[in-house]
Amino acid sequence: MREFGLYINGQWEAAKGGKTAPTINPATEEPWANVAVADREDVRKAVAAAKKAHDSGVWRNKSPQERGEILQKVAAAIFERQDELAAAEVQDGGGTMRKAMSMDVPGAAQTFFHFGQFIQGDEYKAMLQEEYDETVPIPSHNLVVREPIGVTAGITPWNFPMIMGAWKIAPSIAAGNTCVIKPASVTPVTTLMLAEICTQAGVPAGVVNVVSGPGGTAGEELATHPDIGKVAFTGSTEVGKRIMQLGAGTLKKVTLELGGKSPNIILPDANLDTAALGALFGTFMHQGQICESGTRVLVHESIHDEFLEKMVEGIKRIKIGDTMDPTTGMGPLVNAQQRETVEKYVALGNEQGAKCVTGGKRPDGISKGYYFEPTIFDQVDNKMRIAQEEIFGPVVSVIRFKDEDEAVRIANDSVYGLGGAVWSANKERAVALARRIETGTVWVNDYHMINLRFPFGGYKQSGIGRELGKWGMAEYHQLKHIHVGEHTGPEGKFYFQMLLN
Amino acid sequence: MPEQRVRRSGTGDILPFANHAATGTFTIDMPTIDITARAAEIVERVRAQRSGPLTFTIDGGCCEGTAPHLYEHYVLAPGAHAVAEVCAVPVYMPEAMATLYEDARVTIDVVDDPLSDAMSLETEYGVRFVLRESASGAAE
Repeated sequence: MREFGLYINGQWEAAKGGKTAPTINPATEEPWANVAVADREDVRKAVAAAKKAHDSGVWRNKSPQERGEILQKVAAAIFERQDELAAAEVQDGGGTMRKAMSMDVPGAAQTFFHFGQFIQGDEYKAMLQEEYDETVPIPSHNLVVREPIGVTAGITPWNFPMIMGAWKIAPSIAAGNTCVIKPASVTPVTTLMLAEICTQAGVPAGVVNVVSGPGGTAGEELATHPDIGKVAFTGSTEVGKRIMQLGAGTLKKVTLELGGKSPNIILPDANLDTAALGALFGTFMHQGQICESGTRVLVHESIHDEFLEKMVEGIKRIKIGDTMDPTTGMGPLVNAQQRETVEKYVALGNEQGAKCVTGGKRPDGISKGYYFEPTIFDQVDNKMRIAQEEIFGPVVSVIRFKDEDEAVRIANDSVYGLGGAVWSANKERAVALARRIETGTVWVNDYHMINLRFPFGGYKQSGIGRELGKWGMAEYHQLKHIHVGEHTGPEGKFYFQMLLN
Repeated sequence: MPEQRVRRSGTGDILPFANHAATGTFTIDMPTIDITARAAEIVERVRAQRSGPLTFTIDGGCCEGTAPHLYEHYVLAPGAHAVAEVCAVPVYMPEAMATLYEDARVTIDVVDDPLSDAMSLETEYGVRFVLRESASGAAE
């Protein structure tokens, strides 16, 4: 059985209390590695290492050119170890090998590469310093500069451990910060490996630290530690709220990327073949365990029957099975608790009068692993619990609408506002509709197309702040205005007369 | 005109709960929330270790699922109203959820979960509160 410690100050360390816990493969229900469990002292040690590395200037004093080179080396190093990383990701989180090789590993590598390149460019140079001449009330020269925050914390979920780890590390250290990351306790391994890879690629010790531990101790310590200037969290709404509360005591910058119940709107002029597969991709990818999944498919009543039929036909193209098999499209849910939750909502859907058209049960012939069939509920009213609560599993609700106004009303009738989509042959019409939907991302004729260049985050209860792109990068800095006034005698400062005779 | 909301507790007694100065009264349905003996024991254990006021909050979403969270010194949103009380701890739900759960009968239970990432106080003891739900009308 493999052993993993905590990764602090450029090296592997056992937890001070010596505690470890096994991590379970959701496809086999068997442990496959032992991982150190951090307590508050371990977290404090990691924060101290990050603070020391920041204060020493060993990282922040490097030019963006230099830091960018190193981040790009991290990307290359990730690709070099892709087989090992992909296998670990599959065994920890229950995603398929197909997902790990085409999404997780490239996604993580590209995140480091993208931000490594970005900081070497002119756009970042302009972000770092803007200059203005002012004449009112007297002549002055003004600099608006961006500086790193210091030590940032990242708390990540179990659905995309490597990618989420990369999103919390790369932009932070690209900006000159140092960081401490707490991965989800059920999927700690690949984030720990990422920290080692960073060191191997030339990131100085203490710049990237990873401590795996429970939310109530390790997570709470990060959210309240006075030396941490920013917490970036991806996970459930309730935990996000608590992190914001805990951060208030030391006025931390907080970004939260939380839950969603994203509307996927199909207009009558859409290519129904593509949109139907898009709806499946948007809901069943990674067993529906993606925050921005299009779990409410809003379909125009004129095309409803045809569209539903295409969705049901399309499901036959999803193979559920052994996660290591490259032909498998759907693996198990991450643990027993998540599957229980899905089963509860399926029962609720049936109880509240929705029609389960396909799925709704564990697959036949599979005796081990937390598997569940892709499930479509039709005749769903948006007020039903399966349409309002986030299930975080392979369950989609199909809802009918008469016209665009109703589609918008239904789409926005949710406490969440993370993602959404509009499918139509008429792009202008789709964009006009997209502007009316209260979500942080809207895809037109697509789903799950997250791009490192563009901001990602939620409206309403789906979160605050944005990650990715220059907007996400800005949030890993602080702004400073330097006003350079003329060096004159007192007569040059007439406004002093507001006080002085 | 502000109303006095009346709520049902797990024991079936009707307890007054005024969220504004009350003049008129009417009854609205609130979710019925019970707690198992084992979970109640954990609440007492937490209470013995903490000095601040305890709060249960139930909210949804994402990786943690819809679950009860037990906190000390929780900051309540202005719209929050307690939908029940268990072990003398008020249970809060956001407005939209309380409406959704109007007819629900739920029970707070506890399971072994040494790696929980929730920031709920019971996680210190390697356990985690969960929400169990029965079909409407059936007792848990």
